[in-house]
Amino acid sequence: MISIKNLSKVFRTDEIETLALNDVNLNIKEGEFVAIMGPSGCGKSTLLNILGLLDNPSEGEYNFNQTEVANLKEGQRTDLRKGNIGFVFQSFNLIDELNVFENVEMPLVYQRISSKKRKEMVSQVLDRMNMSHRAKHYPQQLSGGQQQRVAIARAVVSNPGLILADEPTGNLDSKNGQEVMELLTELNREGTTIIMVTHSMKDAGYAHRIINLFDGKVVTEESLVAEQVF
Amino acid sequence: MILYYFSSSLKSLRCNIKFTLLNVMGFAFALAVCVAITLYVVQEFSYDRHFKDANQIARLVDAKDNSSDVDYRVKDLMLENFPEIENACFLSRQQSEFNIKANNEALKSSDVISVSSSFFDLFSIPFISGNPNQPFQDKKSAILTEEIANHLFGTNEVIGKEIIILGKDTVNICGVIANFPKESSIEGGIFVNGENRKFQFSFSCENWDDQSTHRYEFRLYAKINPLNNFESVKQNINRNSKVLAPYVSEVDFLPLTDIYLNDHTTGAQTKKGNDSLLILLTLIAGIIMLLAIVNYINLTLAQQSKKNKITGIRKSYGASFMNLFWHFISESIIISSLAFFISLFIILLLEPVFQKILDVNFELSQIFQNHLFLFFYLSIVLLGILSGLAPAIILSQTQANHAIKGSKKRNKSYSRNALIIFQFTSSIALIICILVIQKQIYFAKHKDAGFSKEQLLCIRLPYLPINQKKNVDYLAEELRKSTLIKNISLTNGVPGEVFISMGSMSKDSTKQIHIPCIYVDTNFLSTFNIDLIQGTKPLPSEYDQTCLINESYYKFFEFKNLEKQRFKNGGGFDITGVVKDFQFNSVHSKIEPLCILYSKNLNTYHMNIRIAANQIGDAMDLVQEKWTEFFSDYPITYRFFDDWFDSMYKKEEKLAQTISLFAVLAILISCFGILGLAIFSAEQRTKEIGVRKSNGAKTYEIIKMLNRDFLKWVLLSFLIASPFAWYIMTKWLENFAYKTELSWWIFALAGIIAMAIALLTVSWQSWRAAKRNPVESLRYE
Repeated sequence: MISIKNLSKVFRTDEIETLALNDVNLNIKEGEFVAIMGPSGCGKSTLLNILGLLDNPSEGEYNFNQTEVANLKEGQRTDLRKGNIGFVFQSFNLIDELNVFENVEMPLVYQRISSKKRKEMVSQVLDRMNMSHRAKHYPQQLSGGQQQRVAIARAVVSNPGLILADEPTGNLDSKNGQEVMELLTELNREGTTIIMVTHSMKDAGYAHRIINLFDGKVVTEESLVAEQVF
Repeated sequence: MILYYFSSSLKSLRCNIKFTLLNVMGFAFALAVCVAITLYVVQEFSYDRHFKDANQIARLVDAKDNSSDVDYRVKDLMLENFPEIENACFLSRQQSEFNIKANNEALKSSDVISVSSSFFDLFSIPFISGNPNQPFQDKKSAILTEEIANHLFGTNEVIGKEIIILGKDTVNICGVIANFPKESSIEGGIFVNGENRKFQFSFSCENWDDQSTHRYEFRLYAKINPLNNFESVKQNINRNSKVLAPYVSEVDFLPLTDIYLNDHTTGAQTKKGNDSLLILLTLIAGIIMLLAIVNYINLTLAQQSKKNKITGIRKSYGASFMNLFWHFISESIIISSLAFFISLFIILLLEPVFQKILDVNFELSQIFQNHLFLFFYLSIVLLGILSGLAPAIILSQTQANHAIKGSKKRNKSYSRNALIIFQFTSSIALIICILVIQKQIYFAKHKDAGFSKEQLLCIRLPYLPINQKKNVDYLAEELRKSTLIKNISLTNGVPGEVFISMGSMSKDSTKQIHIPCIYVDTNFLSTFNIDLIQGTKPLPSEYDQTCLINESYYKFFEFKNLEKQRFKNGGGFDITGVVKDFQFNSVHSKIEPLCILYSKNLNTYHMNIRIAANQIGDAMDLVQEKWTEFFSDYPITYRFFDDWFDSMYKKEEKLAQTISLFAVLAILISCFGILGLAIFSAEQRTKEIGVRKSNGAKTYEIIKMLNRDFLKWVLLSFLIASPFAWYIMTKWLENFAYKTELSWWIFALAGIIAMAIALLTVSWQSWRAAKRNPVESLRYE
């Protein structure tokens, strides 16, 4: 599903040049659950942004679903993202002014899905996340765990093949964190590829594979399950 | 999809209620001003357009003199010789009031207008009663408007009734017409037949004995054949100019629809619009609208960090540039629409103020007429799109990954600074204009007029039959007996109202020039307190042979002394003395040469009464009582010189009021913008404030820091606004013969006012930011 070759990302300001990713090579197959770990500032989030087509690399190749995407324009990236990639963020990133239903509905609107169909899809996913009773509530009326469940609902509502999660449990207590991880695992079991950035060894334990980054480089890759599963 | 944009925009606006309110209110005030001004401008441009075939009607102008005074005989000459002219009429109004008598009641009326019978046809005026095909039955017929008929007789069934004009001419009413629409440059209520020599009010001649030089001056309106245009008709007439000789040598046409706003001819006798006020108002409306748009852009960009996050989330979930663009545009359309409806309430609230200042009789219902509403609403949607454009483009371009992180880089936005400087510059320039106009009005009102205006009453005497003329002297004699009256002078012509000008030979005796003259009695100088600075007053034995002149006359003719100097008119008058210049003409013009003629049998038009100090009430009672005794047939018309001269500044006062009102609104709108930016700036620097405070900065130091930026902008705006306002006001002051100085303190004061307004607006916000707990501020990141 994802193949990255010699990928680098440089951030430049007027005087300083920062090498965030340095010659990264990576392959992720469909249905895999990958955790990316490493200390702060090692380039985890940068990698996730590039994988999620939110940003372009400075150098290197990125093949996503058999398409070369490293040098796509903004509009093309947006089109490719639509319905294919879902995001889960540490700080949930729900839109405060929209209620739960509307937050989950949002990705479908940009896919031009009819309102009737949208309603159906959103209800289904909220049911699954046990959030139906909160559909009319606003983010600030929910607990952190509930907010993240809504965020996950939004990420999966259009059935994307890939979910990118940036420290999804970072703002949650252990109980809620565990619930979120179980949800992600369940999604993965149903076939969704998941790439998750985390600091927590415990959360990484849910993955099939852990990639360790240090100073923008992949230092180790460890597999937690037998290779033949895939 | 559109629905989605609007519903989510509504939610976003509701969530940011503070900014939404600032934005909506800024827009609403601006729109209220623009809608009111538009209604006013539309009304001013609609003048005379309601007449049928208004586009085919024009007034004939004597191009050589740029005068609308044309002899009435031109009408027939034109109709006989130029078939392209379908119809023509003449009309004349007396500038002063008439004494009329209707229903045995003596009244004053300025509504008497003398017309040819073709007037009613040319202007397609509907008749309520009477015969439209033969409006005047004879030369002594009159036609009234419904309004005047009701006013004079309490009914509009008045055919056959009589009106006595000027105490001597009786006319019979033979028709009633519908009232003239308000938007007509021609005014009149009592129409008398201009064919009657008695109603040919204005007469001039070069030589009384030479009948061929006699002119009866009228305004002449012509209606051309629809197949022609004025330009070609004019050229044709001018090619055959002999036909209209000797009355007009070169013809020009002033289209009826241009008369109200673009008439620069003399002797027009029509209602005149104030085109410079119109331009000024349009300019102000434009500036205010720009201010509101600038506000919108500023306030929207001020919410950038907050909006960026949402933009980022939407973007990561597939929103394209266009999707985001429409999100922002729909927001601004909602704001401008909301503002439009609120502005209607503001107009409703401010209606009396607008009506008083603009002198326009508008009703809110006008907005809902003539597709005006649709026009307004579409303009407002367009306005929304326009003002949303810049923020939409800027904000939609945000990179999703940066946006989500909510990066709060303190971006130095030059464009935003430019916008705020524009707002301050406009405000300061407007403040300077208000101050200068007020100063000029004060200066002019308090300038020494050369005679003392206080406690000086002027009674305008009616046109009297010969047998009653003596009553004027009797009345004066009676009044002089009272201690309430200090002095009385009978004159023909007073400061502010000089009717006569006489031809006199110029310095080099080569051509004739016209010198304004007033006829006075022996009490003139003492009643008006005018100083004689050279020579002596004429002796009673020298009356009708001698005169006084003013200083300007003395200087104009470059006299060295008065020896053997004469005012060369007819037989001539010996000049015996020179008086100090006094303001006898319009307060707007320079004092010109004036000749004061002493006469025994003057045709008295003014009775000037100097009242003893603090006795105005009692004196007026006495004057009224005595007046009724001698002139029971005539209502009394009087005014005090001080009020009269003050009223000559009405136009300027109105201008000052108008600019003040709109300047206050402009400043208010700017305040909304500045407040928004203060909130923004405090928010953007939250972390900086926290760091500074945790390192020992005091609250007032933080306030100082936050306010400094705004003061810098005010200063810069002041530097831009000052020369601009100076230029505009120098130009404006050129309209006055006697002008005030553009003192430095006006500019300083305007700067201080602007600074005070900015500080007042900003400080509260700065104080709140500065008072925050540093821990809270630091956690913000």
